[in-house]
Amino acid sequence: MPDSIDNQLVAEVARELVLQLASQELPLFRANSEAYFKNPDKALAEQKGKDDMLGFGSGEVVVLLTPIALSVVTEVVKFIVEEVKKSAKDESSALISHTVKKVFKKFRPEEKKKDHDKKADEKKTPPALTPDQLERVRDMALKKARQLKLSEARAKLLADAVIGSLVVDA
Amino acid sequence: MSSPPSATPQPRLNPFLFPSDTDFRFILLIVSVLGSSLYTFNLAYFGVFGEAHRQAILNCYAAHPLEGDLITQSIAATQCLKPFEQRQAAWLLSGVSLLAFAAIVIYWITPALKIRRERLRRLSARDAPEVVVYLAGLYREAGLRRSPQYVWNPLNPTISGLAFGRLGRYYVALTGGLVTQFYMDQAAFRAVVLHELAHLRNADVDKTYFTVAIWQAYVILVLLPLCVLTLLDSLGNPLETFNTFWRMLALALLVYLTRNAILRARELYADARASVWDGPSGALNRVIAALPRPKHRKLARLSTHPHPDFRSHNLVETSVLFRLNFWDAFGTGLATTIALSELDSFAILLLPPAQILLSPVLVALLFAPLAVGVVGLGAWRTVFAALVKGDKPNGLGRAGFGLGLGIVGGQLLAFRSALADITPAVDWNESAISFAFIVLWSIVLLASLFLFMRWIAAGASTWLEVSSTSTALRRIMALGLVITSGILALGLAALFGVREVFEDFPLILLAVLSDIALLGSTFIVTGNSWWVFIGLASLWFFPLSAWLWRAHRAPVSIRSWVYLDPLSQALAPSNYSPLRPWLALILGLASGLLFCGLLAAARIILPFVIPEATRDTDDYRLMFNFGQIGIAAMMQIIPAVVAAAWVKRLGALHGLFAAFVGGCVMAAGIIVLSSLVNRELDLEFIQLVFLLVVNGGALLALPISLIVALLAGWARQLQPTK
Repeated sequence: MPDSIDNQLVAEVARELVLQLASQELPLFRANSEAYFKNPDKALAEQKGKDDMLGFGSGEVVVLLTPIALSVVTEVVKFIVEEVKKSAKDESSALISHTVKKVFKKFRPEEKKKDHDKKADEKKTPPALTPDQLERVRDMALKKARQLKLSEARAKLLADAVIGSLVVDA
Repeated sequence: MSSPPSATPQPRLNPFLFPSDTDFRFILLIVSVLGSSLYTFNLAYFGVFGEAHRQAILNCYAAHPLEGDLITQSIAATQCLKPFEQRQAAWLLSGVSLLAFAAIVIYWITPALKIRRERLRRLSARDAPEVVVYLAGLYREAGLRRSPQYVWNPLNPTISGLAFGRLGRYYVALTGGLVTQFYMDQAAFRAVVLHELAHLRNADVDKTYFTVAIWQAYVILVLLPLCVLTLLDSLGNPLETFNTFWRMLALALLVYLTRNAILRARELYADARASVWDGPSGALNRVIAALPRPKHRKLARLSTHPHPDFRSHNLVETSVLFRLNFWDAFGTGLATTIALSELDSFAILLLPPAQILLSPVLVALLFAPLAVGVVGLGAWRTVFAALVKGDKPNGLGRAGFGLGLGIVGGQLLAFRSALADITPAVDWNESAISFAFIVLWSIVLLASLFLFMRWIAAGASTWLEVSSTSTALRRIMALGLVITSGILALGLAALFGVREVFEDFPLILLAVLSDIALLGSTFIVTGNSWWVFIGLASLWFFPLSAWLWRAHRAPVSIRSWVYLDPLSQALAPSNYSPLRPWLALILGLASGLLFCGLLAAARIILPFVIPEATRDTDDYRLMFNFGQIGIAAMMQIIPAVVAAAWVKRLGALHGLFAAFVGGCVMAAGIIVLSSLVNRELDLEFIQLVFLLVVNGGALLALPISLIVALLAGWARQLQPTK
């Protein structure tokens, strides 16, 4: 995980996705995200599961969305960081980080504000992603989810949810 | 996937009224490991000190040659060998202690290692508050005094639960996958957790983990060293290696299969227990039906988990937990004989030379409770299930046969036989007689155990009917098993003792069989024994004495406590026939009085027929005295046959009782008439007459009653039913 990527941002966005698509995994989220940030490859590999000889249960391995969502969001954040860097070459890393955050709806409390307040803030608000960029984000999310063996239907849902989490131009 | 049963057609039998198969098999495992490890440590001892030991034997027998007073010389030679034997005993004891210590250590540290290795951590309200709240109440539902500690690995996506721990500290581990089930399919989550709590309630967690620990210790300290020793030995003596190797393989297989049998049995009991809490609408059946299926169905019978289909069937019909398996009985015989044979050899090393002949008795005394604990209790359960269903108990004779085969096989596998195999035969004639004797002995053993199992069933059936509460059932069963153990110990002590003497000295057997006087003396010695009396009297006393509690008698099927689930409607009582000891008593009295009348008549008539000079000789007196005893013994056959043919239920035992009553009256008649004639009463004479008449009559009446009862049963079956 490159240092430039804000783990907290990734975790919070991924948590939103898990809440939407697999709320049953919320109790597992904290542990899974900690394990993911510690060693992403290992966390994704543990999806294979371990069954104890003396255990009881179907032994079926649940494909957890959490590590996949974390991985997908990491990729997406990386992409957005690169895109923001391109448009704001001279800005400080703190500002870039702030700008990246604002690309996600979750970090735009302004939307909840009244219209006149919104207008006042507009100048400070970074621009939303373009449709082209959104399309690329969707493709990237879909590809990553497929690569991590998520079923096609769930992969599409995840990709759509990622797009849904981003700010879109009105 | 099968759907949960909508309605249970028949209420399920309660398997928890009896100690479980897990307990029996656990005992078997300990016994097999003990036997197998003593075998290995013996081998290791001879590998290290073999030459020195052999030299010591040669030196001691050279110093005390078997000439002149054989017994004194033999004892002196054995005494000379004692220091070497004590060294061997210390070696064996150290090996077994090390094994036990290693097993205890592994058992003790396993929970901590598991927690660490599987990265388990406490399930806290911070992680999954709803799950924690839900689990907090479940232990009460499971009837546990306190909640186990719930731990989990949120990174494990498998849907699985596991109860583990050690004495006083128990855990239930949940996987991340299982916790997600709580939100997706709460019924399935509940079923899995209840199953794990059922393991705790059934108290099988300690047994399970000790089983696993002892297996691991066995592999490390017994199996691997044995493999190394065998490999090293194979360079020197291939025949010895072969003899060791196949025995080693068989013993290791026995331990392995016993381990798996424990693990399978515990699952079935946990399923049964959890199904009660889960209720008919629960998801347990669904979860079990979804369990992964083994690739080879037949191999599943030997694996650590029962086949899911078998488990599903067990949820609907628990009678599978009441069956006594042939292989369980065989394994019991095998494991116990090997272990006790090794223990016997071990005891010989420690016993003073003069007491070595006691070892078969010790073996029988140890063997009987172990065998009865497994096979006898299994017989009680089988009879219980059959009585509730109104069926005849099946497979018990077969189990007795299995036990016998196990004993024969165990003797073949034991270390002593391995040594015998590599010792060249001294005399082919002796070997042939010895072999024929062993074959005959084995047939007698098999037949005896076949009948012994049928007898346990007879006793169980009469006593189960008068068990009015589950507590009464347990008490009666415990008492019954003690009596059964005693009888088996007596029978086996006699059989093992006979084998011990005649196997090593087959020519003595020929001498006894070819001399009528010697044969007669053997019969008198056997008949004049209180132990034989107790053994024979217990045969009828234990089953028929249930009649004294007939006020409590009722068909087992109408008692509500015999079922696992509450009864929704009254059940039809199963058919059963009453006991008729009164009839046997009257028949015995009548035959006894008839004998007394005839004897009195003979006493009056004979002085007129036989001259006094003849009557005053010792030969006449001897013939008269033993003649009246012989006739009394034979006359007991009459009431025995009538009772065996007449009484429908347990005819053979009624016959034996009738013979006993008749025998007592006849013995009293002989004693009273003798005292009237001789005007003296000798206590020794009273005992001799009583024991010879009663024991002799019982020994004659027993096989005849059995045959008559069998024929009468067939005749009744052939009669057209109205």
